[in-house]
Amino acid sequence: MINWIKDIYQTLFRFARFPCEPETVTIGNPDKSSPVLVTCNFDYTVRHLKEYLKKEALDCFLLVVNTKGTNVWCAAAEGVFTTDIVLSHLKVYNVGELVNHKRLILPQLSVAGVKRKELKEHGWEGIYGPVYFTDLKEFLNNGLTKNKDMQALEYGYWERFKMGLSHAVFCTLVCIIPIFLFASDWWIQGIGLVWYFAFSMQLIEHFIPFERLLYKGLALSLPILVLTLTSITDPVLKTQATLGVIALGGYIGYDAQGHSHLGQNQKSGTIFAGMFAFLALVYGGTLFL
Amino acid sequence: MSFVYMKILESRPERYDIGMGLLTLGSLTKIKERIAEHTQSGNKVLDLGCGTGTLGQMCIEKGAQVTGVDANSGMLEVAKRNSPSANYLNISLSNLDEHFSDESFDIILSTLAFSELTHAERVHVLKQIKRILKKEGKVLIGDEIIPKNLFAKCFYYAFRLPMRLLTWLMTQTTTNAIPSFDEEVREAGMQIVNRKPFMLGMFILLEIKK
Repeated sequence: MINWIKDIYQTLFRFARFPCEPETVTIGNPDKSSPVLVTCNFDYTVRHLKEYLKKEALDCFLLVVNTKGTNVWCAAAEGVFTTDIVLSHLKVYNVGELVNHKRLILPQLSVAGVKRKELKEHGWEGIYGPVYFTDLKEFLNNGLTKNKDMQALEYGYWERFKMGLSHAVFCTLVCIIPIFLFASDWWIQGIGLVWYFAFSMQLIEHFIPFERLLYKGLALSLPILVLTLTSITDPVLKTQATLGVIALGGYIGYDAQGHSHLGQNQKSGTIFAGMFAFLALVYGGTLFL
Repeated sequence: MSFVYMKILESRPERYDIGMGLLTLGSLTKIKERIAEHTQSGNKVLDLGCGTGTLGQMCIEKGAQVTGVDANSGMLEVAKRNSPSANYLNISLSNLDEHFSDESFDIILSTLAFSELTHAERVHVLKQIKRILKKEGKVLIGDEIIPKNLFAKCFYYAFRLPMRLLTWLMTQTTTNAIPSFDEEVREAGMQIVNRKPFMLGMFILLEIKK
């Protein structure tokens, strides 16, 4: 399939897994002293990394280890990109026989799962490479040393946009049934709101002065609430629409916690559950009006 | 990743047995019962990819000493609750060489674990199994295969797609049918001595010896 089509659906459905075959790939004409690079078997990463290595004519071995199709950062955090998995790949594919050194260049973002100390116990030296593979050429040419730029994780607007797109698709799948159940006449507005919250939670959340992403989601519902309260005249509908907007903002803000390790530690579950119970109670009350 | 989805994934081991029971329409339980019938009191049993430990517990009830191996620590947590008297190791199946000495088990079992491995991994694991299995020991593997019969093959593709989707929705995992075990078993230097098909040949129970 054409690569750009794959890029689109793998970005849109990023929450799903897209595995490619685990393997040891020979790039260019490597010899016994050539570097051994390690990556996960997330198809998107592998396709782009291979393309880069070929374009830059870097002779090396690329180990595509089995992380069940999950990307490096998530796989390391989830415990599927581990020292054990790397060691397993080294054995299964006899990597030790391909080279005369015992050095592995690991993605920097694998640090949570692949431990240098454990690799050393098995006779392998692990070196964390740059965050972005586009710095690999410079890293290899500089004698495997990194400058500050190579260690920095940028979360620029293009990355935020792609994350927003994936989150919007996921939240649409989650919210579509409740939207049709509770607001079938307003489903277009409902889905529009899901996309507004999902994109805003990526593109402008860092400007909102709250720490908890749940509160940021609620803060993002304020302009919509103003619009709702000024444009709807029926008091019952006005109340129900307000509850719906708060519920969507709260849910998408809470759900965005999964995008970073800092977010995952926010422990907003109780507040989220309490908020939803309150909204459900008020909604129930409006049914008697 | 979505936080809610992440939490769903974390609870996957709790739902694994229900999902896999559904995917195999109950055949998995029958396969496990058949496997457990092979064990006797005092047997040293290794359960590869032990998952939630249900098969290990069946063998323990027959008087066997069971060691369970699984790469998924979440699964092992559930296994420790289901079968607390077994021993467990949280390692990949490819790393058996570091943990077990030659000819140390009477019976080596596995259900739906080989279908999660690649061809190269399966051959590597089978070679390790040959090393750690006692001379007169046996290997029992229950797994998903692509049926050879044309009718069964058509049924397989028609039936498996919706079932896989349903199972994925429940457990966020699935299995991948193995095209042929025979060549891989031969490559590892062992032989299949008995085979019992389940569900029109979509699942198979193999008895393998050195």
